[in-house]
Amino acid sequence: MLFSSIVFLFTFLPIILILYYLVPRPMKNVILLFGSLLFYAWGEPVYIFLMIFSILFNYICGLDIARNLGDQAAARRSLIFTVAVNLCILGFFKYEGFVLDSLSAVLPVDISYRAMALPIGISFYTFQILSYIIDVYRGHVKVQTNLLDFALYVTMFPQLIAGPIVQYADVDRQLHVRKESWGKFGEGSMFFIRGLAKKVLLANTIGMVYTEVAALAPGKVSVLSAWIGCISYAFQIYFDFSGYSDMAIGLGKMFGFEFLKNFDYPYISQSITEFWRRWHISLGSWFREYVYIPLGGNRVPVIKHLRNLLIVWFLTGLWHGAAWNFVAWGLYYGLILILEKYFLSRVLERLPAVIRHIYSLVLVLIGWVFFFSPTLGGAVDYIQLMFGVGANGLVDSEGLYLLTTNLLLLILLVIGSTPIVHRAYERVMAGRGKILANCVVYAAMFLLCIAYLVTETYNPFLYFRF
Amino acid sequence: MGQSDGGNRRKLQRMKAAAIVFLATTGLICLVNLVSQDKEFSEKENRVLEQKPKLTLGAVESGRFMKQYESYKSDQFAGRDFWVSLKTRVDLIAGKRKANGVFKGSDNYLLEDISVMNEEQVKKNTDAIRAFAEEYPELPVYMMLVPNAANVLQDKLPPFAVTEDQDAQFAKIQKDLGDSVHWIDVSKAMKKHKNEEIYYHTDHHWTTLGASYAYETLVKNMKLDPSKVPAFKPYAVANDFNGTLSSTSGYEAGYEESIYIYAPKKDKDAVEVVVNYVDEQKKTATLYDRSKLKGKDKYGMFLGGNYSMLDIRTTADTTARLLLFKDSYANAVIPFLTPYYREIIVIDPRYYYGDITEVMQNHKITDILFLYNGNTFVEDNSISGVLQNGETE
Repeated sequence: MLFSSIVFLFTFLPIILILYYLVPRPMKNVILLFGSLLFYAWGEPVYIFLMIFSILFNYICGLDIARNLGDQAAARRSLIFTVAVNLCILGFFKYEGFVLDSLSAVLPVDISYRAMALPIGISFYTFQILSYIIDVYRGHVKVQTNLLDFALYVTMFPQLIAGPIVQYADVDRQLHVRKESWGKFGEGSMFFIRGLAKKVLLANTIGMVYTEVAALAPGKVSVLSAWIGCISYAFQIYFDFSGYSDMAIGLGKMFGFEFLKNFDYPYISQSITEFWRRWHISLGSWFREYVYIPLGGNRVPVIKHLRNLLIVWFLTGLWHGAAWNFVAWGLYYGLILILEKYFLSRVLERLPAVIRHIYSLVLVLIGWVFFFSPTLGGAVDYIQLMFGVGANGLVDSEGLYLLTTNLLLLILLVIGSTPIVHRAYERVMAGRGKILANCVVYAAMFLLCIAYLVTETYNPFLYFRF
Repeated sequence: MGQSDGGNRRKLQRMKAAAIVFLATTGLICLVNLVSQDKEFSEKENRVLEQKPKLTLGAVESGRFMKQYESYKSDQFAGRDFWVSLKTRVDLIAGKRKANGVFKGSDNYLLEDISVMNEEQVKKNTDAIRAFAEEYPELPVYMMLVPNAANVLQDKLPPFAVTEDQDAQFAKIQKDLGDSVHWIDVSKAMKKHKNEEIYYHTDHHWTTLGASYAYETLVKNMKLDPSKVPAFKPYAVANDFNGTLSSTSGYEAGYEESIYIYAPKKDKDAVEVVVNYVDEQKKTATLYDRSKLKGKDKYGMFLGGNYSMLDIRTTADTTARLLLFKDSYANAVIPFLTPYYREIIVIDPRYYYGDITEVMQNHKITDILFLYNGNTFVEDNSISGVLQNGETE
C-alpha cells in the first residue's frame, strides 16, 4: 500500500488510528504490528511469509548471539551465520537475475533463470535487521526478548517500504516507552501533509515532465530538453523520496515515535561530500556504522582508506538497484568523494560559493543520469546529449514548450529545495493569532493532495525498485 | 524568556490545531464516503465504475482483490467530479496545458495528442489490406485516413507544443499500401477548411461539417454521381454537447456545443433506409438514435454508436453495394453515402468476429472503403485479424 493512496488515507489509516487510541497501552503494539503486517500483505500477499520467516529467524538468532556473548568465538560464528543468511535472502530475491545476467555475459554459456518479483522494502528491512543483529553482537543494545516488539521494529508500517532506515538503537526504548500527545500528533499531521504534498503535488507533476523527455525519439532531444529532463528527474526523486520520509516521520509521531530526519536540503550543498551528508542520511549512517568504520574508516593508511571508500560506494550503488548503472553511479560518487577528500576540497575552499554550488549540482545531475538510464550505454548517450553531442540543436520547439509550460513549477521546486520557504513560513507563523492561518494552509494542501490523488492514475512510487 | 515561552506555547497550540484539521478533514471525508451510495456508471467519464470486489482467498492471494478494492475506492470517491475540476484548475494556473493526453488549445479547443504509431501492428494491417485488395482485383478498394484535430488545427495548440508528425505517418501508410489500394487524401480538404468548425471543441470526433468535406472528397475519388442526390442542409439536433476530451482532461467542463445532422431539404427526397444491427438482431428505419442525445455520449446518436456489423439497405436507385471497414469517424459520414448505395455493410473490426469472405459473396459487394481517423488506425490491432478471417499466423 502507498501512503499516497485513497485506501491508505481514508480506510487503513483511520481504522488503525482509532484502534490504536482505543486499546489499552499493552495492546497498542499489537495493533501496530497487526496493521503493519496487513499494510505489507496488501501489496505483497505472498511475501508476507518471507517477512514472517525473517522475523522469527532473526529473533532467535539475536537471542543466540546474546547467549553466546561470553564466548567471543561462538558469538562471532553465530553473527556470521545470521548475517550470511540475511544477505543470502536479499541476494537471492534482489540480485539473482543481475548476477546470472552478468555471468552469462562473461561466460560462454547462457544461464537461464526465472525472474522473481522483488519483495517490497526488502532492502530497507534487511538493513534494519542487520543493524539490530550487529549491535546485539557488539553489545551496543540489549537483546530483544519480546518477539512482538522485535516484529514491530522490523515491520513498522510508517518506514517499512521506503525508510528511513531506523537503527535499532534509536528506537529500542521507544518500542515500549513512548508518549503520544495532541501536540505530537499535530506535528506529525503537519509532517505528513507536507510529505504528501511534496510527493503528490510536486514529485508526481514534475515526474511527468521527465517521462515526456524520456519518451522523445533519439534525434528529437535538444540540449535544453536534455537538461530539463535531467533536472525534472532530480526534483522528482528528491521530492518523492524526501516526501515519503516526511510522511514516515509524521506517521511515526502520530503513534508516538520519533525517527531521525532523512533529508536536509541536499540541493543546497556546496560539495559532494556535503551532498551526501544531506541526502538519504539514514542510509549513509548505516553504511558508515556497519561497513566503513568496521573496515577501519579513515584511521588506516591511505591505500586502505581508498579501498574502504570504494567498497562502501560500490555497495551503496548496488543497494540502489541490481544493475551495473547503479554500481557505476555508486563508484562515480566514490571517486568524486576521494578526489574531494585528497585534493579538490582545498581548491573548492578558495572558490566563491556560487561556483561551488554549480559544481555540486552539475555533478549530482550527471549522477542522476546513471540512475535513471536503463543501461550504462544509455547513460553515456544521455550525458553526451546534455553537452550537445548528437542533440537536436541547443534549443528546439519541444524544449521551449516544456520550459514554458513548467516554468512556474520549476521555480517553485527550486525555491522548495532550499530552507527559505520553511524558514519564512515559521517566522510568519511565530507571531500571535496565526493558528487559523496555519490550519487553512495545511487544510488547503491536504485537500489539493486529495484532488490530485482522486484525479491521477499516475501514481508510481520510485523507491519500490529497491 | 517569557517571549520564547509564549512562542513555544503558540507553537504547541498551532500543532494541536493542525491535529484537529487533519482528523476533522479525514473524518469528514470518511463519513461522506460511508454515506454516499455506490454508483454503477459515471456519466461524466462515460464508463462503468468499479464495484466492491468479493473477498475470496484466491483473489487475496493473487493480489487481485487489493487492486480492485483500490480502484473501487477511488472510482466511488464522493465528489469525484469536484476533485477532478479542482485539480485541472490548479494545473492551468501552474501553466500546464495538457492533461491525460489532451492539449488545452486556444478558442476553447481541446485537442487529443497524436498517437505514436504501433509500427508492427500497422505493418500487419497494411499487409492484410493489401492482400485483401489483391484477392479482389476487379473491385476498387479505397482508403481514407482522417487527420486528427491536433494535426489540422495545429495553430490552436498551446505555444511550442509538439506532436507526432501525422502527415509523415500517413505518407508511410500510403506507401506501405501500394497501388492496389486507392488512397483518398482528405487531409488537404480538412486543412483548407480548418477555419470552420470541422472538429468538436470538446470531443475527439469531427463534426458533421468536417464529415461533409470528407464526403465531397469521397464523391470525387470514388466517382460517385451527385447529380441525382438532393442537396443536404444542416439541422442542429443538440446544443448541449460536452464531449469525451473534456471528460478525460477535465478542461472545458462547462463548454457546450451543437451537433448537426445533414438531411435533404424536403423529406420526400430522402432515401429510405433500414438498418439491421446484425449481431444484436435489431432493425431500425433511421440512421440516428436520438435517445443518445439524452446521455453523455451524444456522438453515439450517429447509428447508435459502434457495432460489429450493420447491414444498411436503402431505396437508392443503384446496384452498387459498399463494404465499409471503419471506426467511429465513419458514423458521421455514412448518412451522406446512403443515396449512393443499395446496400452498405458496415464492419467495425474491433468488435467483429465473422467471416469476411462470406460477406463478400452473400452481399455482392461492388466497392470497398476503409475509413479511419489517424489515431485509431495507427494503434489498431483488429483489422488484420478480421481480413484474414480470424486466422492468426
